[in-house]
Amino acid sequence: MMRPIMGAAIVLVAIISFGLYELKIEVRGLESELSGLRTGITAEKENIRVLNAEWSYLNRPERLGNMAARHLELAPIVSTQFIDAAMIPMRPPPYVPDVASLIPMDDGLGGAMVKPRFVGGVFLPQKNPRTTIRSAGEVPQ
Amino acid sequence: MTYARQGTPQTYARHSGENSRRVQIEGVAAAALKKSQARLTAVAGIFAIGFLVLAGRVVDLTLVRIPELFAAPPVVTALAFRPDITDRNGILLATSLKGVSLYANPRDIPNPKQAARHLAAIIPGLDQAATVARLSSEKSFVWLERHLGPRQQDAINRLGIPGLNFEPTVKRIYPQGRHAAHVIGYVGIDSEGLGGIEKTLDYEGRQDETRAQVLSIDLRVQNALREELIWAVAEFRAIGAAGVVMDVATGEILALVSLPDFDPNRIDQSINDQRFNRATLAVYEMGSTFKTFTTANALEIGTVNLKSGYDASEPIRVARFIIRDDHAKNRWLSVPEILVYSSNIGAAKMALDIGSERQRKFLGDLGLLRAAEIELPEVGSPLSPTPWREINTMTIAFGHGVAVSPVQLANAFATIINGGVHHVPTLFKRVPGARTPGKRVLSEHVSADMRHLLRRIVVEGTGKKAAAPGYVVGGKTGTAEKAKAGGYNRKALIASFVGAFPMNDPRYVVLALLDEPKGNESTFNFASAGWTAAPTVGRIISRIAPILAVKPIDEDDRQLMAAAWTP
Repeated sequence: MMRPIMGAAIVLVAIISFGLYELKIEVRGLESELSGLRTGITAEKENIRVLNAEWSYLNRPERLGNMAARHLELAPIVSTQFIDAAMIPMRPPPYVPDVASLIPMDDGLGGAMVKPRFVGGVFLPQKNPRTTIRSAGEVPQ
Repeated sequence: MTYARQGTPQTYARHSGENSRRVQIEGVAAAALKKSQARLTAVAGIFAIGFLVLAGRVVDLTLVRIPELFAAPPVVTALAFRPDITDRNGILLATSLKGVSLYANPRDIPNPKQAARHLAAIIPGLDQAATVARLSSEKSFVWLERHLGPRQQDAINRLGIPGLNFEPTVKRIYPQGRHAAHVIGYVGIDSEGLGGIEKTLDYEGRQDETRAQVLSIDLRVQNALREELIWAVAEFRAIGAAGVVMDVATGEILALVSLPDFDPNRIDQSINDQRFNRATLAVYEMGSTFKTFTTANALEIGTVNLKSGYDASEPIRVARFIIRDDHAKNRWLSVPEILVYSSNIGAAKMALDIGSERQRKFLGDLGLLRAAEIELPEVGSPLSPTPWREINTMTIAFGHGVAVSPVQLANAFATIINGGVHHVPTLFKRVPGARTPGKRVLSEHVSADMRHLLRRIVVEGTGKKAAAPGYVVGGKTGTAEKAKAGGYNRKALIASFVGAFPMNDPRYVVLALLDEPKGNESTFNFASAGWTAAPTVGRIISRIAPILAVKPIDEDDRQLMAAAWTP
């Protein structure tokens, strides 16, 4: 009766010890990884601070002024360059064609006058291209 | 196994298979057994308690304290060392960076001369002779150089000289150099604040804050103000200059310049005159700019109105003084004319009607009789006469007898034109949109009248050269002689112009003050404010108005101007 229980207990202890050991090793690995990451973050933050300082240094107004004078065709704005928004003319209303006048008409000679196919996005009736009479010598399109 | 706990003699039942027997133990054996049983129970109890404690700890660690264990420890960087300082748009003005300092143990240095020669090649500006002396000393610790860069550290390591070591340090860096140097201030060798905002942070215990401190300064405006003042100092051969740009509605200081200035990164190479803050620490008798306050005071208490005036044909003789006009008209002058033509006689007579007590109260309300409440340690206390006699009242009317700092003058001027509310000036950015608390010292209609009068000074008076077309500038010139022992120095002037724009709806006050300007050909050798400080302010406003998004209007269009002035 006692022996199987003892055996089971010993096996259990062995398994648990092994698991605990594995867990400990894994945690230790994770902890060293974590502290590595934290050191990295600290270093990166420090780098960002250096870069911020350098960015501010590179953006000194006198440096930007010199570079703008050398490379840009721009000068400080003067008050006469401003106009009131109300002084800018409004955009003219879009052209609305008189549709009636655009319906293809017969020119009396059997050929249609040249008409645009689209006006303001509206498809206009066209003559069947196959019935168009080409005059001699005209280059086929 | 079961056993009965009670009863003597004890009865034990033993089950093994089907035949069970009862064993009875009595006498000495029973007593021994009972004793050991009690001991066993006690030991088991102790173990049980131990295991319970362990189990409790496991539960505590795995379930209760999880957030605590998983929280990252505070990251120690230079960030936690001193807060960054930025301008109102977030441009970095001061930051702390990590570096290393070099120290040595002279006992370990084999050849001090050679070591010093190698180090001097890596560290520019290292004093070789002094280094040899330090490395040859009997001490076991000497500092050699503070704050080295990573490249220099690497090069020194490559030298392979024993006895040289590094200590991590933090250095305060001012990327913008001289810009806003007087505002930010500087730190000492151990990064303790010694001037400007840096010192204020220490004083207020804010040096440990990790969040960046946002100033009210706008670096773009600061740069424009500084460049134009540098121009003026060169053009008029002044020994110094001060400038202030202030938001009239909030008291925020957008730019504050004092010339000559210094590089806070190389504070040890600056001299006292460079570190002296002419904009806040210096107090000057401002001259005619005070007529603005005299006129506003008289209009406010009603001793004059815009149609009344004074006879300014004769100089006033009081005691041993004679008050005369620089731009004498020798006739009766109306109140607007007294201001526009800057009449000392008229202002003095106006002040007599106001009276000493009311004059003192008004100047006090404008913040001119106590040190400016600004977040800098370098704040000058104004000088005012005690007792405040009638003669003082008369001279103070045109700005002699009370000495104030430029930032106080700008603040008081803002109060006159912003509708009459005094705001405490600040160098820290206020919450945008929030109403700034203020104290009313002038009624709104008097403030509106003053805006018209100050505009007239620039249109037709002594301040014509301050005009910045489109931005409706108004303001007042002030030329004062510097005090010397027993009187005034006629050759040494303080020329100032305090103006605001746009005058129909003022947003910013601009002050420029030149210390001892000299005339040149372009000014027909005049060094007075109208010829020196006024054009400087005009140039400043032309540059900063587009930056500050002030819409220009056509000043020649009468209809537009009339429409702009009516609210």
